[in-house]
Amino acid sequence: MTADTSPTRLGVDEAVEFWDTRHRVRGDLQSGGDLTYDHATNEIFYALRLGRLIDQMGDLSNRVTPLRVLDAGCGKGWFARAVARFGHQVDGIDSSAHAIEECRRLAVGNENYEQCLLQDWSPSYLYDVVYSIDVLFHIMDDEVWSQAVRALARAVRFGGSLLLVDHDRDEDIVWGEYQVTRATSRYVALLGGCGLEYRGFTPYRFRDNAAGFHRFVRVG
Amino acid sequence: MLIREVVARHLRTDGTVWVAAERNAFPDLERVSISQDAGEGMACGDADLLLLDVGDGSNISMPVPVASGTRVVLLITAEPLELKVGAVIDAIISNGLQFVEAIALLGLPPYRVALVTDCAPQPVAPRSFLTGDQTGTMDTAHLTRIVTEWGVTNLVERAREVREGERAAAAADTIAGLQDQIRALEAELATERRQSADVSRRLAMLEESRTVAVGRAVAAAAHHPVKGVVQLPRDLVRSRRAGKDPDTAT
Repeated sequence: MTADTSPTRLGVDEAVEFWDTRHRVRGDLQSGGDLTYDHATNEIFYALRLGRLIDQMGDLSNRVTPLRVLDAGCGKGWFARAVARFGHQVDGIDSSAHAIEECRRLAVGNENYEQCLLQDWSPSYLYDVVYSIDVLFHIMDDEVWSQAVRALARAVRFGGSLLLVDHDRDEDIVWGEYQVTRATSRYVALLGGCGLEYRGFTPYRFRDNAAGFHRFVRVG
Repeated sequence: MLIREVVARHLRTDGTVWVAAERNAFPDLERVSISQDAGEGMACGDADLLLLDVGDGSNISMPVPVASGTRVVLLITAEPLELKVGAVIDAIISNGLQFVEAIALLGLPPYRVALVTDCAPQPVAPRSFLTGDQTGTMDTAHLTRIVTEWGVTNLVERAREVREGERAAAAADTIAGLQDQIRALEAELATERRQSADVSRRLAMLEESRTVAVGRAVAAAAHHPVKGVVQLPRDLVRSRRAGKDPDTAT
């Protein structure tokens, strides 16, 4: 059920332009963090989300057999670089050309960055972990959101995890022209049809931010 | 993953580890309060988890009958890239074991790989490497997915191996070409150095010639006419006396 209270929503092209501009004009953390917070608070916000991500991904690493991980909507690559430093092999994709340039400039070594929309990403291999942090609720078009979620699901190997950030709500909520929460049941229904099983919601627990990780595991 | 982490991950609460290896081969287990028994006074069938040293994995056989429900961890000394895949798979199946997960080991040489298996009557679902998630019971949907993933990814992996081999060969050709160029440039450099040395030698001879000495004396006299009138004849005489050898430059 959708409670759409906003008269306007950014289209796909508008959203791409919006985020590319934001990545150009905003600092490293604010561009992908929370605009209402200063740099130091965003440092905390990023660190806390990384901790929650580790909770979801697990804390093991092995140089001989690294995990293959996808950061879908990586922005300027803060999380991708951290995960790469953990020893994993990371792909980062984002629609912003500027953000991807920054990712490549700051890369730590075992990452690959590509400018690409989520719904268009279809590599010739599967991932152990696919995560998308604070991205999907910025996709305003339902059809595009659905295509993006399916594309990410297709990239998860058997036994692998799909970690999608949104709020844990019973109904859709439009927060403004560039943010809309989809009900948890919509994720579960969509991904259940793709062979992924829902394993629960882990909130960020950062101040009043109600977002968190929906976790799915491929079982079939 | 460390061996004690593998054991802790797979051992049920208060379980018993039976080690088919040298006694106290894994002192690390004491850190997680797990005692090991090398079989003295206890049958393997009483254990919940069996740690079995199988060398490089080329010839795996069970030293004792293993009871149904026992989790068996095959500890292999081969590096993951060197794993004798055919022998290992055959051994798992022929010994009535079912694959659970494969782990690259850290921290305790000589073991490099742990293959976790179950002696179980029903098919066992694999586990997620990092989180240890099990994917439910093995059913047709699981098998369909696994077989499809295996078939398609195997095709891509083999094609990738071929492409990487071709790239490596092309890179080797490029390197060989560059090495030829380096050798040619080195030969060219040696020739130029020889020519340069010859020119230097000829220049030095020219510098030492009477002709140049006379020329310098005349030039000096032109710069200092008063002093030069006195100095020039002396320099010319000195130059004539010094020139005992034939002067090739004049």
